[in-house]
Amino acid sequence: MSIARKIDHVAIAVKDVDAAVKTFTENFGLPVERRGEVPELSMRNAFLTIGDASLELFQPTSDKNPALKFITDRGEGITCCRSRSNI
Amino acid sequence: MLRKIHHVGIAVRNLDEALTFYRDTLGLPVHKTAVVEDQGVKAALLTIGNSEIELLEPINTNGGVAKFLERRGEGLHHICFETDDVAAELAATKAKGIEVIDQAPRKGLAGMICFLHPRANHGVLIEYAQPSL
Repeated sequence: MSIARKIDHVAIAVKDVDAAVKTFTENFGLPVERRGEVPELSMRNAFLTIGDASLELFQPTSDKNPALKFITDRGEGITCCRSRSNI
Repeated sequence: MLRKIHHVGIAVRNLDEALTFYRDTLGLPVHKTAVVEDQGVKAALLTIGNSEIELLEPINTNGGVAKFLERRGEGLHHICFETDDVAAELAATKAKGIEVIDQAPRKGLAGMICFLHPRANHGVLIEYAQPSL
């Protein structure tokens, strides 16, 4: 039995979460599972369902969120792949 | 219709070294290994739930993965969505005016595949795959 059981979600840092939701829903027909704001992590985000996993589109709202530097340094893109764990 | 995440591609400098983490530490079983000459990589697919992790090590300096490593270092490279009809999915994508890399499906490690341009998807390189039966 592996420690990592499945891909839970893939996180994508974006400059504008509303624009990104529009792109991913229009381009791929993925339904929006939920969206919101996480002030303690300085971000707005949205989860789109794909099979038994999700894409998380998140927009850092201050430099407290390290993804703001990620976007500044190299542009929007995939930041992490989170697995569902057995431990 | 896009069914699920078929795999997430990760660019690595050394496949054997990467396997010590993904296979040995995380315990993910290796499902397939191959050299894909036209993409300039050697690759390993590891099973995780209903999806896979695709580790990609460049075998030359010209391929997309080699260039990715040079520019950004190791890390997440692309997301692949599974479809039961890659040709229809690609045609529908092109009809929407979405910029693509491959104009027609081609044979890849995951079956018949094609790539869309990251410019069209907020910097995310997207692949469609129709696994071989």
